[in-house]
Amino acid sequence: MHRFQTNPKKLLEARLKSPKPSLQDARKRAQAGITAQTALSPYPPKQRA
Amino acid sequence: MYKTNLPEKRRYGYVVDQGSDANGLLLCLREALPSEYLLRLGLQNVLFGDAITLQAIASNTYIKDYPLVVTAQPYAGGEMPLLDEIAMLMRDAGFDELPPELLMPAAFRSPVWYHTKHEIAATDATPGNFTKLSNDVIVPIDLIINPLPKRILDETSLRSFR
Repeated sequence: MHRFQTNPKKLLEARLKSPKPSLQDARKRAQAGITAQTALSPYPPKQRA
Repeated sequence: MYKTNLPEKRRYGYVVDQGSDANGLLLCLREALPSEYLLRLGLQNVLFGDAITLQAIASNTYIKDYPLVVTAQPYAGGEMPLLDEIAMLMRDAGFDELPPELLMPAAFRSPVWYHTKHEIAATDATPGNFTKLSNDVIVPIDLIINPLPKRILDETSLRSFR
C-alpha cells in the first residue's frame, strides 16, 4: 500500500530541495493570465469556494 | 518568501472550535487570536516539517490594535495533490476524519481531521493548500490547525449522538 512521507525532518529536506521558481517561470505564468500577485506568490493558485 | 496576515480585515486566520450551546455544541470555525495564529504556524512546522519563521510584529497603520505579523515560509514548488492523496497523507500523519455529525452544517468547506494522540484538529486540507513535491512527498502550505482538547469532542459527541 502506498504511503506518504510523514517524517518532519524528511519533509523539510524535500521542501527545501524543491525547485525554486525563476523569473522566466514568473513571466510565463503572468503571460498565461495569472495575476502578477499570484505569479510572485510562493503558493499555487487557490480555488476558493 | 514573506507573507503577512490580513490586517485590513482584522484577521489572523481561523481555528476549529466548539460552537455555542444553542448550536448544539457542534464544531465550527472562529477567527483566531494573534497568539493562535502563531501557534498554528508552529504546529505546521512541527508536524509537517515546514520552516515558517516569524520575521516581525509591527504596528498596523490601517487598523489600530491589530498588529501586523510578518512571516517567511520556504518556497515549495510542485503540483497540487488530489483529494484522495491528501486524505491518505492525513491518515498517514496520524489524523482521522471526524464524522460530519460533529460539524456545524456548512461551516467547513472540507473535512475536519483530528489527531487523537496530540489532540490537534486540522481542516482546510484542500488541494490549493498543499504541494506535491514527488510521488511520496506532499507538504501543506496553509492548513488550519490548532490544539483542540479531546473533552470538547466528547462533549460534542455526547450531544450529537444521544
